[in-house]
Amino acid sequence: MDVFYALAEPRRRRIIGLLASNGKLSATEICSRFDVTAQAISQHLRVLLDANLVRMEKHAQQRIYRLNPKSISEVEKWVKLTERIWNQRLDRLDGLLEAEKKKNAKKR
Amino acid sequence: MEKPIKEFTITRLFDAPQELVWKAWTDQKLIQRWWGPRGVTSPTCEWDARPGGRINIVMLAGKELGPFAGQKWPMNGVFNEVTPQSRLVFTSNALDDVRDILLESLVTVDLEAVGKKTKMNLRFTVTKAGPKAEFALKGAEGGWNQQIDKLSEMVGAK
Repeated sequence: MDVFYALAEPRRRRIIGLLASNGKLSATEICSRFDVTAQAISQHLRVLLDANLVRMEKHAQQRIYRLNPKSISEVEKWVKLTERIWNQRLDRLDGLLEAEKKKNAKKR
Repeated sequence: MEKPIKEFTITRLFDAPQELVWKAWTDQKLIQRWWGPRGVTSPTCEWDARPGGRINIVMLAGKELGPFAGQKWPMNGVFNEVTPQSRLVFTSNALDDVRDILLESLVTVDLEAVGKKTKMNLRFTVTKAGPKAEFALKGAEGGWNQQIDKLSEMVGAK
């Protein structure tokens, strides 16, 4: 299952957010945060499980979900790289501004 | 409010007046001169900084980037908000070689004069990962994941 397909759906991203801030939650607790049917949430959880984004353990009658930190790091890696690229870009912008300032000063 | 997947913020103080920083952010010719990070040029650079205006850039990795030399990294986007001298909001999509979207993001740039200098705040938010992103990131045959690691090291090395 495709991690990014799984993350493309807003409710699934919200589930990820809930798990990120709460550590672990039961299926019932997750459902209580949404207005949609338990069945719909259970489908979303299935997609997240298939994509390896979350892990599930059964405790008696409860299904407890938590994040699988390994999968999330793929997106983080990309974002970190983008941040570095932006920083280098802005270094160049800094250089360009210096050059333009000098050019403008000469004109005057 | 739903949580974005990921975001970062960069704040810089440029030793230049706000009009000049604004020009550098909105004049296509100037953008072309700084858009590529170190070792990267932008031979295709369309940057129409008007509300609804389009962005179409193809970055080209130069010799400095060793094993990546000659690789092309296209991106496109649209300006959502252009408030003269102070604010730019645009979408920015990383594309693959057949121009399918890998990652969609939103970039917000705010400028503010601080004496003769200009403070810039840039926020980058990943809004959506396209269905092909996983392919790109994890693709077994392409080893793109390793490439990203390598590229991170290269652009990170001072």
